[in-house]
Amino acid sequence: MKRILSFLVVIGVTVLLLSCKYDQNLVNGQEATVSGRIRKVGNEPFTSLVLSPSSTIDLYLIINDPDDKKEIENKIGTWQTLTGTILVETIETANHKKSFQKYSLFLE
Amino acid sequence: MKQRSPSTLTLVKAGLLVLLLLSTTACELLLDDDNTTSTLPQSATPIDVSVPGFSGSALLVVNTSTGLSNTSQSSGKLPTSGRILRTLQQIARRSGVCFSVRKNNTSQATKNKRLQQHTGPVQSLTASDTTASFLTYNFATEDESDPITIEATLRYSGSHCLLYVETGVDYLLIKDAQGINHRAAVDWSDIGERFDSEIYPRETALFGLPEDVDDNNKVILLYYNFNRGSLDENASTGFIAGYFYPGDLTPQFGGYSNEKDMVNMNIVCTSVTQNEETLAHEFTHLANYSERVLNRGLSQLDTWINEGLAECGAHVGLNNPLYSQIDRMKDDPYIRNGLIPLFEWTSTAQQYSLAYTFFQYVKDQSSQGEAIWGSIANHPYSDYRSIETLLTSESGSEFESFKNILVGFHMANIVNQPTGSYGYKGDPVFEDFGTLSAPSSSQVYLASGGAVYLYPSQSNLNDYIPRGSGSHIEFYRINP
Repeated sequence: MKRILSFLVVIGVTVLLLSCKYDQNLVNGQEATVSGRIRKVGNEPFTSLVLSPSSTIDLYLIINDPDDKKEIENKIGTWQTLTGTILVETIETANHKKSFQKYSLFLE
Repeated sequence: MKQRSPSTLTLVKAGLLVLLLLSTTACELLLDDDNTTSTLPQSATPIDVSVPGFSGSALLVVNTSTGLSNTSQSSGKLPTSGRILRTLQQIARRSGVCFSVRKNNTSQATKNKRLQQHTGPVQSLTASDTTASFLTYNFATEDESDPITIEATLRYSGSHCLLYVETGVDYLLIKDAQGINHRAAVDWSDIGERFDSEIYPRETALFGLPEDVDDNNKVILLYYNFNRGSLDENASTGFIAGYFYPGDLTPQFGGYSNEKDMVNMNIVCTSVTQNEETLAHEFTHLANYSERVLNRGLSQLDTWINEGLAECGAHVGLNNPLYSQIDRMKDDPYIRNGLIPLFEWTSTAQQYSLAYTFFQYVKDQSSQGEAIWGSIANHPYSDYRSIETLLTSESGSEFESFKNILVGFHMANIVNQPTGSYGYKGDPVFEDFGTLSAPSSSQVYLASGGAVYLYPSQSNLNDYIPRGSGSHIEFYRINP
């Protein structure tokens, strides 16, 4: 009985940990297929297209092909699955006092 | 043992069920319970609404999609309305300033290049720096890796800002209705003092403090002529009035960086008032990006919210409603024909009006008042769900969903009741707002979040049956 309960607890905790640590799955340079909502974010004239798998993660989309970009722009607001290369950059303020991780998805 | 086996099996089953529930919950956390499209429920059957305080009758037609591109949908054939004022073409000829869409088209090569740029200590400017050089966005090439250097002279040093003006420039260029610019003398101290005493304290109280990335406790306000390519003061009829560039705070984010908390202002404007509104607008972007992204680590806001709130920031900073934006709502040909989306940002002047007016409605409906703009700006959700969450959770809220809020906003634009969700709660700014123009066509294509307002005769309204409308189009008959 104890073994079963322990087993269940271990499985449960594992599932939770795997699910909640989404950003740790985004490895720099790795090809990935990610599902999320296409959004246009930021202020004019420096807006960006992002893929948002959750409200806490944005993947900035890097699209060099203008036709591909147009196609993605036509899908703003929809849930899409995209494949590309993950880029992870540390963005910090000029005085180095604050920083955050910026995730990008390079669509080839 | 035999008796224990079934109970163990039951326990295992129960455990698996718990696991399933746990993993489902986890997935919801992961996916933010949002792996569906943003389309709202649809109905082509007219919904009848009785508004006793509204003397007339009307038809509201709304596209309730919350942001899908390419979802402009046909309204089907509309009933004849009593208030068709002008044709679309006629009014389009006299439409106002239009902001161009500027897209970030930075290549990967540029992004790699920018990673190598951020070296050395930050250079702080102080009141003793009477001249300085700044890197500015190149509007001609729209390439962040190709900035233009501007030499500027310090014209004002105050408690919260250092105001620099392009060297040799001591005027604003006021653009007239024909697009001709006229030089107007300006007292830069007046602008600086207004920023220090009004814009800065009011906006930072609402949105948060700008990140002082150059450690000088001052925001740089840089005024220069954006029209660098031709150097022709009368070069453009549509123009960018000002901008905040995030790369100035965080060098790796952009193609260039001044490594300063600053906003850029065009000396070309349509009036001194518009210039001040732009300053307050751009400062909102700086404060919001600093607080939301750098301080709280939250995602950037959807552009329509970002720009709409910046207009609200101008309202707060100058303690004055933006009447030009509200007036445009009344009979602009694009807005009255439902062509302007609310959620899909295409950067037209009309979108600023629509977004600003929408946030006025949100403010009037919220018990927080103007404070809700700050709450939205710093909410964990970066899209329409922030507004939905905040308004639906208020005590005594009349809203159950974002669709309620969207429809309520458009209903308010027709009936403007002093109480309830179909009005601006007696806000004097919207005193004569209940007479928005009907479309100029009998069939329109409504953009997401867009609407048309019609005033058919009572019999036409009662007999009207929608035909051939898109799946996101909803019809509300007011006082049938």
